[in-house]
Amino acid sequence: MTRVSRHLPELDLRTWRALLLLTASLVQRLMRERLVLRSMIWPTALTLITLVLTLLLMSFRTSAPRFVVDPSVPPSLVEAMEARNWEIFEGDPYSVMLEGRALAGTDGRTIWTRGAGPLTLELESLLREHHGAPWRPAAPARRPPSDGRSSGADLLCKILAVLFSLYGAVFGLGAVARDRDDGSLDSELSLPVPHWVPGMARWAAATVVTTTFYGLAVAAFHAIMGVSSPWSFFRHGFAAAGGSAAIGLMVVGGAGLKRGFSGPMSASLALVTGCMGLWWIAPELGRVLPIASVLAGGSGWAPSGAALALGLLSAAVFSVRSARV
Amino acid sequence: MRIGRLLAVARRDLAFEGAGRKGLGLPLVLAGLLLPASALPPPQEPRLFEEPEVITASGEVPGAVLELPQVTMHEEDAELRFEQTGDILLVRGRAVPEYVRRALDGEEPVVRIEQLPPRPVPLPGRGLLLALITSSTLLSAVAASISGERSARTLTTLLAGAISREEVVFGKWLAWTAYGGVAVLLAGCAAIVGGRVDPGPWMLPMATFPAGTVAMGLWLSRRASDVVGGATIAMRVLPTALAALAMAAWILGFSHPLAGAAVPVGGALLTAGATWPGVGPALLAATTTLGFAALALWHTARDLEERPGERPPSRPLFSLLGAGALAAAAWWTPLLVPVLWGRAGAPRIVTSLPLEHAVFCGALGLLLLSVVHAARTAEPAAELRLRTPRPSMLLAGAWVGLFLGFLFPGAQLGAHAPLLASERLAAALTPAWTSAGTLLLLVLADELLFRGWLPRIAGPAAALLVWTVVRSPFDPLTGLLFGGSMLLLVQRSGSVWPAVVARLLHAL
Repeated sequence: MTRVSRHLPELDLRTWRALLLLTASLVQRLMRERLVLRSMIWPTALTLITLVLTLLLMSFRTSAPRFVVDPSVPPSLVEAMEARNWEIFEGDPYSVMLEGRALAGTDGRTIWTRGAGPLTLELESLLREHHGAPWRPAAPARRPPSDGRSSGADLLCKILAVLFSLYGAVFGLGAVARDRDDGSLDSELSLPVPHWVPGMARWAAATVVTTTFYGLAVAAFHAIMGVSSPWSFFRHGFAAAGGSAAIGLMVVGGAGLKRGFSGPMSASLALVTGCMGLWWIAPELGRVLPIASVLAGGSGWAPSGAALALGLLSAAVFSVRSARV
Repeated sequence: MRIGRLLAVARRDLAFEGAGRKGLGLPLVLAGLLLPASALPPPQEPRLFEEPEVITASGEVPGAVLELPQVTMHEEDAELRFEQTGDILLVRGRAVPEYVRRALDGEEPVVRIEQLPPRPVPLPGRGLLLALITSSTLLSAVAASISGERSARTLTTLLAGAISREEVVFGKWLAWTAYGGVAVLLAGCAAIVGGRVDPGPWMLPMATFPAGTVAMGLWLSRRASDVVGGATIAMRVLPTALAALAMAAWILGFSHPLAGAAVPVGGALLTAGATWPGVGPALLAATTTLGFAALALWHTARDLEERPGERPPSRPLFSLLGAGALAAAAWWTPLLVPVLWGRAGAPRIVTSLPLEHAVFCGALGLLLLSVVHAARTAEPAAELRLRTPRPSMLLAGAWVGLFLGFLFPGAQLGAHAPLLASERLAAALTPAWTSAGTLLLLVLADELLFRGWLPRIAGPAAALLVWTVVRSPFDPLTGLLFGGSMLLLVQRSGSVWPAVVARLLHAL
């Protein structure tokens, strides 16, 4: 191959087969790494364990809200409060509240509280009922069930996508730096295939592994909590993984463990975080850009396309910057 | 330990990372993050509960309320909804503002609400942010320090030299602790010069915090074979550990500041943010963090020569138990965790979550388990028994599927997802109600794992037992008969495909 043709896209069957085989081999190598596997499973497992423990705690909770009442409060009012399973104790409401030992306190006419909440409204309603007042406050009526969709699940998917995109950058960087140091990159570059092929294979492998495990996380949250739009989250995850892997691949350049790795790594992670910040600065732009779209939302198609384009670009940059034998 | 050798190792580590133009990357990133963080304006003090200046209302709003300039009518999503029920007017909303109360009560309110100032909660300040930025930026360098030496094969040379393991580890720690300490102190000084914070004892734990995180990073990556492994383990564990330690310190700090400051690393992080005033917490936090760092480094030095990837030969029973536990976690988590919503007081969530989503997720987890295992072997396809069977065996699979469909018809599902764990597992054993895609995924996952992989590591009987426990614990007879039939097909044909055909036809 001539010097120039090494960098040019050569789209014959042999090139495609080489790309496929190299990608499969890189995926297999990533799967053989126990640390990589644990990293992929750990965030989801940790979140699920926390969720299960919280649910178990809520299932067995016994603590009742505490209210302090002045000794002058009529017993009938105290009984009405106790009938709601509240823990009532006597004391000076003002001083007890200053010490923060109760949710609210009352002397029958005044309620001492901090902020507003449904239980304070309920206490006020009881007092007003006791005094025969013409109006009473009440908590807002519950909205109709929303098919189990919860914004909590969406938030978890977003947080995990942020983490997985950082992993994507590490895989993009590491797949070049590590292989350069152990000599396997040189072996691949000596194959009779264009130099962009090993770069594209690295991008594809990092993206496939990261997206697969992120997909599992989205499926788990969807099954347990209900995600508003799981497939668009999956697309955002793919875009974030692909985008950050591309950033890692482009930033690593000629770096390796023997040539300084922490600089490119810090720069990649900062770049990925910066891309994420675009969501905050320009939300509309963020919806079409990989990585930023994780937080900005949208259907995820445009950032997925952009991630593919970034993947191609990263392979080209790899071919020029990194693939020097 | 000899100080000269410690310094030599530290110098070597820093020179290695700082060499050439690329060496500028780390300090530039640190400066780019720390300088803006030190220049940020200080956060505002917590204020008293503030009432909304304007509010939307809907329903039967009394005239006195409507006349208020702060109130506007808005039928949808109003903040206050007025409902007349008999003689009583119900005012629904998260809070009823004082001006609305006055309009409803007149000059003599029946009940008064007195808002107390918020309780002072010790919240960490800027030092915490600077310490966190520094430590997280150095994470990659720290993670690469030992694992990089290992993959570059220089660790063995280093250990063979006239230098102890402790000197190697402490020297590396010294390099990055000094780097981080100097960087964070410079950022703290910039914040002081800019008038954003006042100098104080918080600077001591802020400077010692990197000592703790660097030691943790070295300990976490001590067995990693290369920088990717080292970085991923550090990225995975360190944030969680830091969050847990900081949370523990914060909670303990409510009982006494010294109790919070005594938590290693977490105490230093919060004290760096001047969460607790005084010299005592700062000194204690720095001391416990340095003590923790020394312990972590000693452990790192002890494990340094252990070769990564070397594991004791696995025993079939342990492998089977491990695989069974993973399969149970993958299958039971999506299917059974939603049941807890019901126990936690939200049964509506369980019924509204379609069971198909749980089956899809469980099947995906089981499939990934087999695929990941296969990817780690030399011949993935053979490991999962993916060879092409004889046509007669495929035909036999079809007959078995139809016969089993006659004996045990596929499970059906009502309008809502079942609430009981036993019902959910029974409905998902041999479902005839899922979409074709989910069914195919489930069948592939089941057959590759329970008939492909598990019988190879522990024999068919043990694999059948695991299948029954994981997939049909409440109806073991059906599980044994069904799983046994599939296993027989796979054992006879040497391929999972006849069982896949049987399962698909059974579901039809």
